[in-house]
Amino acid sequence: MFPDTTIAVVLAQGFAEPYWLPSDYWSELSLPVYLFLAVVAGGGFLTGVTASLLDSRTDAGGLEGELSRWGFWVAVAGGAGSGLAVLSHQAILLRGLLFPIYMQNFESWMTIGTWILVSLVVVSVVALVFALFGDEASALEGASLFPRAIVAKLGLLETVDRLVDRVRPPKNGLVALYAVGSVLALATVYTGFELAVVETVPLWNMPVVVPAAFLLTGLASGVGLAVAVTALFARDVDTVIGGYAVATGLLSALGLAFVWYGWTEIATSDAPAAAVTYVALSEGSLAIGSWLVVLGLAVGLLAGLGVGGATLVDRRLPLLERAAVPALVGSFGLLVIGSLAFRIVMLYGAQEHPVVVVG
Amino acid sequence: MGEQWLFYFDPNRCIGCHACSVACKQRHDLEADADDWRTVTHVSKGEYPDFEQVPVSMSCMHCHDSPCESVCPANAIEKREEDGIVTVNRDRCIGCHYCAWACPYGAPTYDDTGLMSKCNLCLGEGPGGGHGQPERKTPEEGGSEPACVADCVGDAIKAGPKSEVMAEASDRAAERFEAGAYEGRVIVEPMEEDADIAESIREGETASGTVTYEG
Amino acid sequence: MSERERSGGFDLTRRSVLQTAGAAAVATSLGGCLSGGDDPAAESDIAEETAYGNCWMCHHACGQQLTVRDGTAVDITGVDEHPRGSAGPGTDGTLCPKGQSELEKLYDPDRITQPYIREDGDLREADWDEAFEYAARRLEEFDEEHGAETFLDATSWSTTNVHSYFWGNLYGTPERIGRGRHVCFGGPHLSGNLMGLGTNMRFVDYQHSDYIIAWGRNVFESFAGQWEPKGVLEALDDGATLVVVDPQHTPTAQKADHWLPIEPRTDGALALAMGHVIVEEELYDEAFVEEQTHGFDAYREAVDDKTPEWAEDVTGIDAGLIREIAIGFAEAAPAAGIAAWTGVGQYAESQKASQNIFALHGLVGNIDRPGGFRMWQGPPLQPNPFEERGIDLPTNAAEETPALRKYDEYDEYPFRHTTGIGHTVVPEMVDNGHIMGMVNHYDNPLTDGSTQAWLEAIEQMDLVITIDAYWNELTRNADIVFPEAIQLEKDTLIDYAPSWSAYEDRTWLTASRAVHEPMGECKSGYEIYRGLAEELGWGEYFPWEDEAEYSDDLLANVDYTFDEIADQNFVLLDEFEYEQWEDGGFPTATGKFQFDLDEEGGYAQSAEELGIDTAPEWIPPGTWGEEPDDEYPLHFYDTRSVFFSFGADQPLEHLQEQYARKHDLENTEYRGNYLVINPRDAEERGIETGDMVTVEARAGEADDEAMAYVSERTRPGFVTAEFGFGTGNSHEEGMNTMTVHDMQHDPVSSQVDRHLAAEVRKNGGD
Repeated sequence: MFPDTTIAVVLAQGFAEPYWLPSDYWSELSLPVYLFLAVVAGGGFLTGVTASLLDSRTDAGGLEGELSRWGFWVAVAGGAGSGLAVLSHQAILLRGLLFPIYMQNFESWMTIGTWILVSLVVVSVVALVFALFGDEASALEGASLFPRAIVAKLGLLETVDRLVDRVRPPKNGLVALYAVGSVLALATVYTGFELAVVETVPLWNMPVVVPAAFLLTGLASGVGLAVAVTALFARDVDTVIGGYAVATGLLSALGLAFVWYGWTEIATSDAPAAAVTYVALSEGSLAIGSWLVVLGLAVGLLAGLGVGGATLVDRRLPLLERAAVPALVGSFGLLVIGSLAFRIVMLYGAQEHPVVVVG
Repeated sequence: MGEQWLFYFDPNRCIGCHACSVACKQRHDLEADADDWRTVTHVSKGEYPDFEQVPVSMSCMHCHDSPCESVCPANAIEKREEDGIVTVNRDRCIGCHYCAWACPYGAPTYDDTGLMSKCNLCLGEGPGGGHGQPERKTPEEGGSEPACVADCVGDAIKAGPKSEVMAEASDRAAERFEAGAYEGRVIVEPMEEDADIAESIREGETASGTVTYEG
Repeated sequence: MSERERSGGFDLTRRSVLQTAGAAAVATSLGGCLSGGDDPAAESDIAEETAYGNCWMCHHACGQQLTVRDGTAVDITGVDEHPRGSAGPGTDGTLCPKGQSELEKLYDPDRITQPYIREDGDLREADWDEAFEYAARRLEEFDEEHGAETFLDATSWSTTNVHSYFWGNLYGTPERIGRGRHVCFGGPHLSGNLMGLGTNMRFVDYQHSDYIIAWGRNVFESFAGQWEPKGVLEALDDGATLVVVDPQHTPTAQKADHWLPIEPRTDGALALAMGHVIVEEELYDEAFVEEQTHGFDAYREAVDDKTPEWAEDVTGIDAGLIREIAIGFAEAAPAAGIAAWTGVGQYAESQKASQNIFALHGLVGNIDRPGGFRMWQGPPLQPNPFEERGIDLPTNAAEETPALRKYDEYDEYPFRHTTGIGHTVVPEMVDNGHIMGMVNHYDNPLTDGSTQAWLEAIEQMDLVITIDAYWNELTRNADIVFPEAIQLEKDTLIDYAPSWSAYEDRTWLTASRAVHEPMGECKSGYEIYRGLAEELGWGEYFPWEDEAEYSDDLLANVDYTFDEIADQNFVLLDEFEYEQWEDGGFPTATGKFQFDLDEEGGYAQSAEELGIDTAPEWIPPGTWGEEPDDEYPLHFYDTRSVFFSFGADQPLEHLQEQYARKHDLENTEYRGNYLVINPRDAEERGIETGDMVTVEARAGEADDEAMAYVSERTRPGFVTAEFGFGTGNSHEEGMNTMTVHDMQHDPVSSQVDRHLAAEVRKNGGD
């Protein structure tokens, strides 16, 4: 997909000075938002699927159901938000909307990614609709079911429920849908590949680290967001939530590890462009962003493992009982901000290799 | 496949006058403050009076590996078989700027429409010019001389089929080109005063300044 | 004579361009531009033609070739083998960014395209009849009230010489201010003239030269035609040595084998030390000195104690290097030359400094020898077409004496012995009622010095007539504004100094026809004078219809007509020899090359009044010019760049943009000039690149501000700004360096002393 070029720059003792290229083509908030929300959607979808499967296997009456639906909500909102963000960036809106006609280079991650995102949104919407409506759903309660109230006000609830059940696929069909969606959810790693294949930018050109960091931090955010919203509306943190909080913590930890590794690669790189990036991220205006990234991921890690872990081992400490929800909501909120900050810093801090005039 | 067209630049002859930049804009009817397809940058170093400033004229190099073409999701960028010139089809471009990132020379520019335009080796005129044109002819064959080549006061810029340009380059420049300087995308003359130092470094007699970077 | 093909069988007279394009198309073609996308040339039904031009952006006439599509010029490039625009036979013609931008000027909507006259205090549009009538009446009234002899002819870049006959012979004023002596390079202009070199000391016979010294000359930026940078590059390719003497680093310094970062205004010392070495080493051309020069003894005496060590103290240049260069220059001679220009031409002590430098030519015998100081010849133009037609022109100025010499008030100015006026003295003359009116033609004295005083003078003058293309403080305050067509819109024969060129031994001529009708109501300069003449009752003296016809008479002694030359854009004429002094001697008082100007009566008088020698000598900076002190610790000087010539090119956007890009400041809104300052000086003053700054000098503080550009390319203590911006200029952004200039001048030649002691202050907010 990308030519196997090496960029060899030899700085001689003679005249050799860099000419820096403007590296601000993507310094627009819509783009980090686009990159971020795509993977958040993936995390949400995976939460929706796994929680749904858990839900169908137990009758424990825990928060699996709500978590599942909120997961799909995160997937839909994230995916749609991502799509809107990238559309707002389009030079000619129509060409973005008609992407199947225009985006034909399947060797480009941007084309592949667009299909992934659109497909994920479609699958998420379907999964959500099936989760919200139908006969089974009518017996359920939970804040995530709020569209039911809206549809009911329109007097269409019965009709919709019946309609949805009519088209509902058999169990295997739904599982297949979930499987496809899950693959798509993981495929949101494309957002990392979009950057990683750009050889002119050392901050991006780490073919394993950047995609892994994008995927892990994004999934952590998606799962964490679903968890936080569920806990917020349910005003409770049960073992299901606890478990997913731990998952969030683990994902954050792994994400942080890759972020840290990438940071050291930049810090120790010989490339002049890497040095410029390093300065921008550690001393310049983006330094706050860098700190936010670390803070968000660390807090996500600690809160996830801490609160989640405590819940799992059933330490019903009074402090925990009172503080669990706000702790999770606050921490995972910070995790989301930190993860978004990661994308912002990646785009705004990017620096292309200079053209070197060599003697 | 026709012969690849290539640019050549000699910083020893370049006087940094920017005639190439303005000539390009005149030929393609571009605004003064936009669409800088050919730029002249003055790279300087040192403290007075050990000061040096060297002008460098650059545009799209129509790279043999055209990284811009590879990343373009819309297949709007095409490296032509006939002459290797890289053109853009503005009817397909979606303005995503991916090509700007891929380009090692910062050649793509974006105008008010948000769409990309860049040097087309004067294969056509205006943004998107050149797309779909027949094989480029040399001036001897009746084709136009690229504007920057035609008006370079110092005769520092050349362009043409690779074999022709190589024949006009100095031995040193050709050697460096063959050895992979600038990834074989453009032929650049070594700077007079540093040619000896560079050769000495290549031959391992002198240590290179600070860094060797390959990525 | 080379054959030039006619393009597509069209006869490219102006009339036939109209016919092929259609008058309607021409009328609407102004401002017409092509949109991008398809290749319009591929469409077969659009007529595409070639037209020629002669670039009048820096006014040195590089050949231009234009592509005209459907009546609109859409592209512009050079003419191969052109004397000014190429490196000679078998080489390509190009156009520098200014030449490229003449295409923008052709369609610039900001140009003045209508006559204006002042009525009831305000300027208003008028048609030509009205304007001519009004101007004629005002001129007659002026003569009655003040006398025509108080009217100043300040005509500059006109493309015919008809103005001097109009204002001198017919109107009858002796007052004339030219560029070379008064505002451009007065000292060298005077020295060159009197020593026998003429005034073309900018140039070297580059292509044959082995040793080129660019002295106060940035030949890769301020070239008089592209043949110069091309010629120097050829010389360098052939192994020539290039030496640059300049306090600042320039593109020329970059390509030099040696850059001498000299202490400002100490050129005279360096030249004397070089002479000292050459005499001591006996490397001078004994035969030439013996046979062709006057005053060598005085010269030898003058350089006797000027050792390189002495010069090192004064100039800051290493004595060993001075020695090396002197020897290198002398050994390479006669194929060795010195190109000197405004760096040695615009400070108060520059006459003697240039005399010291030019002495080196006589010393090494490079004059009119291959590779040395070429005495270029021009074609045998008939300077007086009136004579050609047998017209008996009156000589109304003949009895008049310029005010400078007529009145006692000016007895304090030594330069009155060698010239007829001084730029800095004009405001005083206006105050005294000795000059009461002025005509400007493609000229702007507000950039040339004493801006504040001149602004007041213009107000005081009773009648100001301008012939120009852009609005500025001068044209806005004029009584009559005549819009001239630009060179591309006229039939133009270049009669301004068609001598130096890429052809070192051929005379030549270059001409071009109008690409199409002028914009709006613009007329050619000749037609303006003719129209005015008719109103004044002088119609009988102007039988020529237009500039082309007038040009044909200028060509009376040449084998080509205007059309024949314009068909090919240029023609090469006769060969001329080297060593022309062998037969003709030198045009000086002694008939020889003069080291010592003791035989030049006027100069000798000036020298006596000033207490200086007529022979070369060392006159330290500050003798007449300003010296930095605690209050004004910086040297402040003007510079030029490749993007602008004079003040006329600054309004063009392409040039503004590229100039900003060169400084990496294109992302700011600002498109004025830059105050170049060394990081040490900048740091002391808390100035960073991009800050807006104001320059203060003894004469006052500028209202103008400029953007600071902090760079190691300039010497600590030496700040400069590009000429031609700010108050008074056609592009008012930036700083007019002469707004802080008072009366400073070179007392020997009258040249405006553009060197000032100054301070730079950062303005609040950028």
